[in-house]
Amino acid sequence: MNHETRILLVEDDHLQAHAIQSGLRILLQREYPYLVFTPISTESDLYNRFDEIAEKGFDLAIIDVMLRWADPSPEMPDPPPAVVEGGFFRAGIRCKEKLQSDQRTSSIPVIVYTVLDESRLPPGIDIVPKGGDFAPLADKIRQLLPPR
Amino acid sequence: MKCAVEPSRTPADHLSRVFEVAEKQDKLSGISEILRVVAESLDSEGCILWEVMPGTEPLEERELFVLAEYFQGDWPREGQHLAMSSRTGQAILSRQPQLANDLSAIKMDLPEAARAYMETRNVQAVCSVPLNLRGGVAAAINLYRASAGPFQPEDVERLELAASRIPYLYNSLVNQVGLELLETVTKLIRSASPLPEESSEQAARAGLYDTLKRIVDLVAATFNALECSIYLEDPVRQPSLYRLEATEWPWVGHEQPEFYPKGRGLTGYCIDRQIPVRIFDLGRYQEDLPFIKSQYPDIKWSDPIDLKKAAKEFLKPVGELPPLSFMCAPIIGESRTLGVLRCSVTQTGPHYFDDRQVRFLCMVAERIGEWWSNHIRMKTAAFENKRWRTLVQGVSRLNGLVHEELRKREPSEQRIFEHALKIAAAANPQAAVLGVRLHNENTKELYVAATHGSRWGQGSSQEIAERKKRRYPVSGGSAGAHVFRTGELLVEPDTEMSRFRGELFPDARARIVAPISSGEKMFGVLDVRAFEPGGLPRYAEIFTDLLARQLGLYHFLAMEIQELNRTQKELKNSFAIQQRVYEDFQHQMKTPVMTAHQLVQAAVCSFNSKRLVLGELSALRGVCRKAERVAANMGLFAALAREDPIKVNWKILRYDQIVQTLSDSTEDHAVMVPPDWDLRFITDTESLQVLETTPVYADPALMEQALGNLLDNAGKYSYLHTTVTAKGGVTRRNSDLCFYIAVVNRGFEISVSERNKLTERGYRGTKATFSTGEGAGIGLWIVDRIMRAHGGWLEILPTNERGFNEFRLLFRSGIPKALR
Repeated sequence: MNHETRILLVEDDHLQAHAIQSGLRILLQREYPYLVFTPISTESDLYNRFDEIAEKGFDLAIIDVMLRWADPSPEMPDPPPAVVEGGFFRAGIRCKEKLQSDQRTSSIPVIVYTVLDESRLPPGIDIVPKGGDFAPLADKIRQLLPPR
Repeated sequence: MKCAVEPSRTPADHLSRVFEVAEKQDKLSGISEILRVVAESLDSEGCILWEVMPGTEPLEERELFVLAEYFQGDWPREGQHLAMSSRTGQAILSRQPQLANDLSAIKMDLPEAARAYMETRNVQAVCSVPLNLRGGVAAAINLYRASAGPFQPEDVERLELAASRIPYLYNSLVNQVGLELLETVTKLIRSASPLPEESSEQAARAGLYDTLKRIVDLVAATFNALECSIYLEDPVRQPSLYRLEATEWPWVGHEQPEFYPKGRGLTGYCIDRQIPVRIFDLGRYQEDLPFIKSQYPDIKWSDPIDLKKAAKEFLKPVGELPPLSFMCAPIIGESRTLGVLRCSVTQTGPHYFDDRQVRFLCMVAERIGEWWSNHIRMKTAAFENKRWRTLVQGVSRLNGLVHEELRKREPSEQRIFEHALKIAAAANPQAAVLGVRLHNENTKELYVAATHGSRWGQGSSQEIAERKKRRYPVSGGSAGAHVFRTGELLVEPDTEMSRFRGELFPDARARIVAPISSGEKMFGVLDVRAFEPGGLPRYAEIFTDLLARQLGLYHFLAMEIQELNRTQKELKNSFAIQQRVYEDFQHQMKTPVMTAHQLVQAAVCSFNSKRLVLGELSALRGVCRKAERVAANMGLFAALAREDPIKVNWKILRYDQIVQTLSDSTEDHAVMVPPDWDLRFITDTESLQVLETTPVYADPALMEQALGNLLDNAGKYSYLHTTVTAKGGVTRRNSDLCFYIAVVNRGFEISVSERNKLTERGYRGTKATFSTGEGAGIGLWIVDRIMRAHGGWLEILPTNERGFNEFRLLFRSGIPKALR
């Protein structure tokens, strides 16, 4: 259990989430043999489960940028003003800021993993471009995390 | 002016003394002095100049009244009237002197009033000589002796001689005092120049009214009038209102009218008709009414102070009152009645204002008219200059405010209108109600957009609110609606007879309603009302019209700017949508391709890389289809953005083909939703069986694209643990038989009002926006355009009571026009 590498994966496309997990497990099995992913599929889910996330102590977070606020439901929670204003186009950036602004989670390295061009994001956001090949993402993880 | 008179011994001496005394008289009361000389020179104690009352009856049916009298010592006033049957009347009727040298013998036969004279004064003998006054007015001069014995023939001769000169002397006296009056008034008026300047109005007013008071005193003294007043109009301050400016008012305890409107009473009649009015005896007004009305048609007077009572209190006569004569002359300037100069009731003889006195009064009024007119002209010019300055400064400030407002994204016209009304109020101090009413193009009504003036705030809060909320249909009979329809300025200086009188604020006395317009375009009206007598000055018309035009321009500019802002906003919005669409396309294009790659990559990297499992293959097909759909949507979006028509590649689609399309599409979409959503996609093939015998004409690729877009939405916006059903059927749209493909789901509610918006480009429901991480609001827009290209429809049924939403693609049955 001591060798577990805990990754928070914020991705609303379940196919991609599945592929990312499969791909990374294979590519990183040597350095991080015990990869444990916690998938989060909506922005509201991250906020609702934030205490749990903070308690759990993640080694890394991989965050997509364009995320839905919540799953469709008659009881869908009302989004806060920042979400209303910014919309889903910047949801991942808000999630990143949320992690970084809380003392309990601010030390978690965050990888912004998106299909968007860097130019379309706020300045200073370091991204890993999404693609079919997971090697760049795996390389970035290796940079940020010491091998276990 | 009194002179000692010795009884004259010759007729020449006698006449010479009369002339000598007459020349020294400077007031009309001097007639009594002349009578005294006549009396004393013929050893008589009294002398009365009797005149026949004016009237339409024959001479013999009228009465005589005392025009002027002299009696030695302090003899009390008593009888003032005689019948024509009296000796004096007989002298007039017979044109012969009448003598009564032994009155004691005939006293008992005398009328009561005449007998009272004789008894009180112990008169023993009376000599009555007829004469003609003022161009034929019948009169008589009577001498009354108490101690000198009977009148002798030579006394009668002397009295006849004196009587022959009395008309001349009396006329001369009237002319002399009249001319002196005119000269003095002229001097007074000249000395009152230069006329006041606006800058020292207080001081100027004091000087002005001092002059008027001196004129009043002078006129009263000249004509022996107990009452004399000047009423003047100040057209600058209160047009059509004639205010009391100077007066000699003897009737203590009886209130004098402070002002007269046109037409009220005798004074108002004079003002209204611009003619002098003379009444012989106000005490006999009712008896003489037919005669008075023959001279002054429609005249009305109600004796507001009970003049007889007032005169009795003041004059304290022992017997009858003398005639309560009245005369007034209009003060006219530049054809306008500017006021009235009025005299009533004489204190001493002559007791009746004759024609020449009225003429002199008119001449004095004319002098006052010239002077007042000049004053008003200067005052008007100064006042109007001041108001113009106020208006120009106000408009200048308003322009600044408008400039400031129009620079804002959402200019506040309310602020502009309210400021404009304040300016209008400052420029028109009489205006107590000001309002801007604007046209609502939807309801075809005028509504109150801005108000100013104390009257708006009167009453309970509910009344105030109702007043301000009131609407005026443009087709209705309100003044505002009339002006709005005609585009013409409405000026009502006196709303008494207005056909719009029943409107809001019915007690308004004057009103101006100006159209708020720009070019041919009407926007509303500016409504200004006054409640004080005199209403609104004439320049207010120009002010109101000018300000209304200015408001029209502002409103036009504000509308233009709002339109520009709206266009700019739409452009920005359109640009934003386009940006969002491109971003979304980029995302949507990359995502399935990349996902497919990832799936394959993950499979390749895994231990089971030799073969892909069925689920992974299905997912691969789903994402590939999605990539195709997104690519097709991009092509359609680009074509529609260029306004190119969508080309339909018509095919006959059979039942099995359509069933296949629906089945494949639902399957492809099923794999795209997370398994934990438990969202099922099914195809209701039974519903499609009607197509086994009916061919459908459509472009299969476009139909699949439209269906795919509907299923995409269903996959994104359906509630978890529900079912999305693709089905078909036959229905009618208007009179057309249609085949339809429908997607039915349970998700966010679609209201009737929202239904039409769903097909607008870039529209996204609020909840939909937050339940997906992609989309730009163009999916249904493209579906709608695809269906239009087919000559069909996208029909969206609002959420039903069981919570189902239904989106139908309606294709007309039969061969399409393009293939006929």
